[in-house]
Amino acid sequence: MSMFKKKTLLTQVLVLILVAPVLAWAGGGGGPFSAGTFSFIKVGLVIFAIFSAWLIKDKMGIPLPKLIQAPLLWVLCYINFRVILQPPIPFSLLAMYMGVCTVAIFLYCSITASSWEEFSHPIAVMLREDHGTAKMSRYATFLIVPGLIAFQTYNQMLPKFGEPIELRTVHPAPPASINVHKKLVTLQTAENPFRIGDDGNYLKVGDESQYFGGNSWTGDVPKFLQQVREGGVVFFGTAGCFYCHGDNLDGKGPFSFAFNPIPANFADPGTISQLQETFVFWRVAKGGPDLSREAFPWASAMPPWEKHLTTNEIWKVIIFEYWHTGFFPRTWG
Amino acid sequence: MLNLNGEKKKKIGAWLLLSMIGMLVLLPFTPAVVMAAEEKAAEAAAEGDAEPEKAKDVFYKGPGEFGIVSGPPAKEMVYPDDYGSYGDFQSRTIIWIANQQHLYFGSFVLAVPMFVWVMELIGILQYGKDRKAGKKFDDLAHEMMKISLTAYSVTAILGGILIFSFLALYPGFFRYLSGIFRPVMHIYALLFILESGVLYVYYYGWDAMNDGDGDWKWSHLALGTMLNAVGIVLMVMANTWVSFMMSPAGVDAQGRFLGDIWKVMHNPLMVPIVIHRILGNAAFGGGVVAAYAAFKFLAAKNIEEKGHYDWMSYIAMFMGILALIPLPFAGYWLMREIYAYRQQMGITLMGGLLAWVFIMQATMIATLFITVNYYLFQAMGRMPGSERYHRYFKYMLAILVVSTIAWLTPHTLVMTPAELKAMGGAQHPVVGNYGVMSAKNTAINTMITTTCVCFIIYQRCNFNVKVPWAWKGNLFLFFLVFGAEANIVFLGIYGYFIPANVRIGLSVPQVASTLTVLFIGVWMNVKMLKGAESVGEIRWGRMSVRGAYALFMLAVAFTWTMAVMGYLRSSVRLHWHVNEILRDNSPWAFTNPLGYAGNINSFNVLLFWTMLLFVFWLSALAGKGKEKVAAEAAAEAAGSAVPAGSH
Amino acid sequence: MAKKKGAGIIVFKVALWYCTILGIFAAYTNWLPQIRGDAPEAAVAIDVSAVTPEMLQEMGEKIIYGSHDPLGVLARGEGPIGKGQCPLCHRFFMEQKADRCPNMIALKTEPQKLLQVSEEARSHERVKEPRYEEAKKRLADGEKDSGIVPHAETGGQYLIESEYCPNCFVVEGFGLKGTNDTVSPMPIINKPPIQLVDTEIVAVVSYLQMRDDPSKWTAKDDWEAYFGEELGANEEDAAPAEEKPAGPPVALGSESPEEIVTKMTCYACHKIPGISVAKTGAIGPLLIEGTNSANRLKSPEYQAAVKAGKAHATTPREYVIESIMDPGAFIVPGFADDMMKDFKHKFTVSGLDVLVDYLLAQDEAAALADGMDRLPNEKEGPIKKPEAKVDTGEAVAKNKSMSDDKQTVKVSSSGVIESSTFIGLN
Repeated sequence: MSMFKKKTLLTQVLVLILVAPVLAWAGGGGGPFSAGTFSFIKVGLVIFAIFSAWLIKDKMGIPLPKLIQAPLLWVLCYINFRVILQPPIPFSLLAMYMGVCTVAIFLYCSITASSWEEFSHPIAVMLREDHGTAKMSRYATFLIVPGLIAFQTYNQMLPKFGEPIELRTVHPAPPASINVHKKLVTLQTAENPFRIGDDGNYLKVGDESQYFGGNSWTGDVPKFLQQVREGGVVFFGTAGCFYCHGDNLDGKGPFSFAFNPIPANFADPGTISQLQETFVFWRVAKGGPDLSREAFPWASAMPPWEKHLTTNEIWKVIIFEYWHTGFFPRTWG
Repeated sequence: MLNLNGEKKKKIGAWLLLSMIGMLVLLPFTPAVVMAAEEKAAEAAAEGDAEPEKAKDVFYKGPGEFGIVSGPPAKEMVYPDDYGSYGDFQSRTIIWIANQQHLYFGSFVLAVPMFVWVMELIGILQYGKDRKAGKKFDDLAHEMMKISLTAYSVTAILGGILIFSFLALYPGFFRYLSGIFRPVMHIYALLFILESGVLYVYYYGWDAMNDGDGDWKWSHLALGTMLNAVGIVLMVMANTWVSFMMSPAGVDAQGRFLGDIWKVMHNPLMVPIVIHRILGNAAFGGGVVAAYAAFKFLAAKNIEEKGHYDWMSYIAMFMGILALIPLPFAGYWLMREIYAYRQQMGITLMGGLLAWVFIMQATMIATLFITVNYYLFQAMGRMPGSERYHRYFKYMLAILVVSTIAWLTPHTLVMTPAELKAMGGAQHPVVGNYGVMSAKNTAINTMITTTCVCFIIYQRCNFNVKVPWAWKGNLFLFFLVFGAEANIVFLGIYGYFIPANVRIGLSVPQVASTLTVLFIGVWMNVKMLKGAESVGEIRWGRMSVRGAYALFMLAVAFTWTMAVMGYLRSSVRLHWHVNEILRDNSPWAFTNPLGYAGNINSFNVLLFWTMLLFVFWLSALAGKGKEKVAAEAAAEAAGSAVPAGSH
Repeated sequence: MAKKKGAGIIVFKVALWYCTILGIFAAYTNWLPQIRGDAPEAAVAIDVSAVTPEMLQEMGEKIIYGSHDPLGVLARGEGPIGKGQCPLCHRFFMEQKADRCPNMIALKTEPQKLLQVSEEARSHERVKEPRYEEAKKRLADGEKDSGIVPHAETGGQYLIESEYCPNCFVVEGFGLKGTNDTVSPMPIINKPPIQLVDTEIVAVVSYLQMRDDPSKWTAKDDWEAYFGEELGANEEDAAPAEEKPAGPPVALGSESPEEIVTKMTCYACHKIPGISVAKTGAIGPLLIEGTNSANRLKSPEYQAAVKAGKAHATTPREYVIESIMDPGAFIVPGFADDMMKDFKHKFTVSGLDVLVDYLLAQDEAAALADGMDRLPNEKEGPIKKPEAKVDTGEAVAKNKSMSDDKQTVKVSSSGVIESSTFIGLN
């Protein structure tokens, strides 16, 4: 191998070491890139890594035995999920991802007869052969592996003082019907009475997109936007939803920091856009106290708004929430 | 061979047999006809007396909304009286195990004749071209049937155990259900007799009716058709009971039967569950036969035997995968129907109490697809010339792993409050995007497309394409795959920007892309392989041991997935025997947590495989004498080439 | 692959592989979050023919206390009050405060053995009392509210009768003041607001009978003998009770004063003009706060309480709010500190406003118009006296001037605490 090739390799490694933390910082939200841009950069990074691996192995002819590749890949995966992926993912997800990666790396090593041979041969030698190196590594392995297990067990047994894991079912199943202001609302079939188009008839879900972005505060607005306006009055005035759910409905209201769990972020595609309008109605009307058993530990500070708002106000504020976020309620028709 | 000389006589005999089959098919419905007539008469008599009481159907709307009350209301179950128990042991778990075992064996004996039918058909069609190849398929079908025969009696025994368990442990519930399904249950029992009769004629008449591709053989295949038809009708009937429990119809709110048994059977979830079950059964049957063959492969004493079972396992696995590929789509349809039936049920499944079961199911499906690909990688070890493709394997694996990670990411993350704060919300800004349906659809379609590509490579890896338009064909394949994948990914991303109800519709073009790769790609590949130069014959029996273990994994994953989905389907009724009509008032009305279900499932799968091992052993015992002949046949078969494109 | 292996080894290997996979799957499911979906409590639907005395007793306990561990509830400083609301007035445990109606303390819960007779035993004595014979004669045409003619023959029948017709026999000394023990302060239990169904009443009686000695159970037979029909025969019509929301009832701003009074059971102790259910309460003062509150604020007793740092109200409105939210702050002379202390958990702001506005609007004239008068133990004396009328006019005038500034927050005489802070709003 020529001097030149070695230099190229070194430069590349150096660049990787330098660039990775910068990218990690950029992904942390403080940087100039949005999460989307960042994931593109990450894809680029992965392609770059594959390219350099190809360069090293095939073009420069530096072989990396599978037995070395495997732990190296594992560590790279770990770094990716633990360090590069920001904000940090919870341990449960990390464990899941690393489990997949572990299996995948094993499959990678055993994918063809030759790679399996390459991977398993040193292990077989270590276990079977009788010469000095094999013996040494054998003893080392039989010391290190039980040692690691013992350490892990010790770690597990140590008393922990962290907060317990709280599993919340974010979207518990709603009841079939609820009683709001002495009226039975069947959640399967109920419709938002204020979802009305210009002709005064019911506006199909999805058709309201024509009003998105419209100014509901000018004097003469379509009927639908009038409802949106009244819903906005409820959101910012009567009920004061924005204290918790935020001016932009992103769950970052002035009081939100005080809650654990934090208030729902309606701007997230995983909240109201996943749910039928009646589900949202149920949550607004009944709040935390009416959460079903499966929603244990009922960690929701949402008040039962039926005690403070009329049914109509609740429906209107729902219209407003969808309009403001630009999402559509889920339908199954 | 029957002593029938001359083409004409043979034909007459075959046609006679066929018409007999036709009449047999109609036989079980005679009691229904008689019963219907009796009912009519009774109705006429009743009309004279008094105005019959009418009540509102719980499901059907419109003209059929009201029906004549013709059954007692569902009794409120009282704990010690309407339930039996064995000490403190959960009665439900006993029923669960009995049901699951019966279902496993039932699915097996339902699925195997499907394969056997296809194998036999291929055998007949091949017979004209290549006698040896035709016979090979026919023998394979026969061998599979032999396993099914022993399993059949086990199914019946388990069915008996199941009924006795119901009578002993849930007498009140069973009384109600049998009160409604009375006539259907009788037809079911009669059909079962018919099924047995056809099965025995089919199996024991195999050699006698085997005249290559003559009329007798075709009649035999017709028997197989009937066997399958009866089997599916049986399954559909039993399924109506289960889907009635989930989504009752044809009764009023008090549970009174409204006189129309078809409405009860044709309840809202019946059709999607049936479709899901048939596909699932086929995939499961393939997995079981493949595992059987893999075991025989490992235990084989010589390379010829190894070759035979290598081939058998490949065929079975292939059939299983064919059924597996449409399965996720059938599943989506079922979920959609469930949501349409009850939003509450849908949310309990997907976002509520049972959401974690779907993570488990996702794990199983990912396991299945990765295992299939891994098996194909291993199977290429028997293809000379496959070395040319080895370097692509790791990229395919990487695509599968990335898809798996997106596929497995749950919507609701388990985390400590500190982690929640660190993340800044319940949804992660990056991986949170993987938690929604758009990402899942993209991931699963990508996985299936990758599997298709893997199969295309498998097909061609021992050939050098010789058609003059080879480069055009390759280019076409390349653009087909990448175009489809680009479409899948684009639609997946686009899905984030449109309403959920429209988004659901996106899965259709995504699936269409996948299926295009599957059909057009494979078809194109076969075209290109016409007149291709072989690098070397397939060396059956040279698959690595890891491939055999992958097949076991596949079989276990199939079995386990069935178990976990059964738990899911049953649990979604929550504390109801019959949803919203008959409440479960026993102390076991709660929904068991996933871990408990996992333990029971593992136990069930283990029990099933132990029993199946016994069945295999029995069938091996029966064939001991013939082993030598079979081994010779296998040796002969292994020698003959099987064109890869023909499976 | 190169070496030949026995079939046994292969079976073992395959079995090991299977068990490993199954183990991993099972372990994974156990590692995932575990949620057990408990079935919600079944609606109470009782098959009367199959029900056992023990089940009735248990059900009765729940109706009375709302819990199967009343002592535990007491120990937490709360009132064990179920939908029957019995412990509001009857005393079931030594630890409990309630003496409006006859006590029902069980022998075994009373270590000092002061009361040597159980309710079950006592019930047999009641029917033999000459006063019961008198009542029978007096009410031969039927008691006017319930329409029942007293005809209990056994103790059990007496207990049942008392629930359907509290006026049929009033224990000496527990009748409404001035009625010579002919009118009971107890509501009719099978009618609103408590509205227990027949089986539930039998369950309550079963609990009383079996509390000390389970062998004394006769409730069902008594019921059937008393009414001459089979228990549960008419219950088909009774619609299944609507599932009650969890938690205590809460008074809302959307409700009428009458609804709030009913919900909060004010009528159990107070008479309130214009409220149809609150005509008999004789434990607390007559609530004519348009008149009373201004007078009481001025009273030396109240000023003493202010000095002691207990009371802080400066306006009539604040006084009424304080009396509801913090009843112990000031006790009207002549009364005991008997009022429930948990109303501060049971009102919304607007609900409280509704009630307070209503009470402040009631004055002596309203009470007279409704035929009500103060209780003898109220210091002010009956309204009907002429000199009281002068007071009224004054008070009303004062009330008017004061109600104008009800929105302003004033510093109380102690000069420390703002008036709004003691409204324990939760």
